[in-house]
Amino acid sequence: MIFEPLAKLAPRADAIYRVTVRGITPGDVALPGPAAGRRDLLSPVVREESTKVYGD
Amino acid sequence: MARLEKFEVCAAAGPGHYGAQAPLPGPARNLHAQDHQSRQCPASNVSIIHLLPEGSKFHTASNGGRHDLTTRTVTWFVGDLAPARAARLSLEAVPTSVGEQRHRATATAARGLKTEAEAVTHVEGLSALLMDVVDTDDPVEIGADTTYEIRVINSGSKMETNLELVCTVPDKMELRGPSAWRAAASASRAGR
Repeated sequence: MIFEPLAKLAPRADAIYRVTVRGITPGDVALPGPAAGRRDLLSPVVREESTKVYGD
Repeated sequence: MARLEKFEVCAAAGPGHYGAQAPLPGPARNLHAQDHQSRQCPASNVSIIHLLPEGSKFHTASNGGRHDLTTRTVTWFVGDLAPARAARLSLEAVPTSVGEQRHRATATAARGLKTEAEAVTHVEGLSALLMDVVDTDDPVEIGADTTYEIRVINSGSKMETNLELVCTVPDKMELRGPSAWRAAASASRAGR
């Protein structure tokens, strides 16, 4: 999923994005990325977050 | 932007032209103030004043240079300067704002001798991105939703432009959609 580009982000300002997902298979799931950066740069900032999905 | 700038001030007494020499390129800037003197006559009571611009903060000075916060100056008393001799002094300053910073040095001596020189530094800011990702529910049951909140921060001193965020949803999860988007300007926009 690609968010619409943010034209400007001032110094010491932040932008908050929220993405809602539904677990469909049990296990540890890592959200690979997300990656944020300038569109014309090749080295974005990347973070990963894991979530455990459980069933009966 | 917080990098130190080093300035070298050189006052010389001796034959030669009277005036200021253009500052040299590079992180160390040289200000040359040269007094026109005869070969037999020293310059006496030589003082040098370095005026710091608004966007520059004093750090250190060599040779006992005295900093005056009110006048934004650093002053050295050199005393007598023999013909063809030079006094080399230096100071370090920290740029505190972006833009053009003009450092000006003035050398004065007895009998009304005076000369000035300046060095111009162009100070630029840098943008730097940080990112935090948290999930609102963890663990999550099959069939239930969880929301990832992704916070992108510009921790630098320069405006970041044309910022794009890309998320890849793993196979074990199903995208329910971007639930919200907020920037400093409180804009509202959805992903695609």
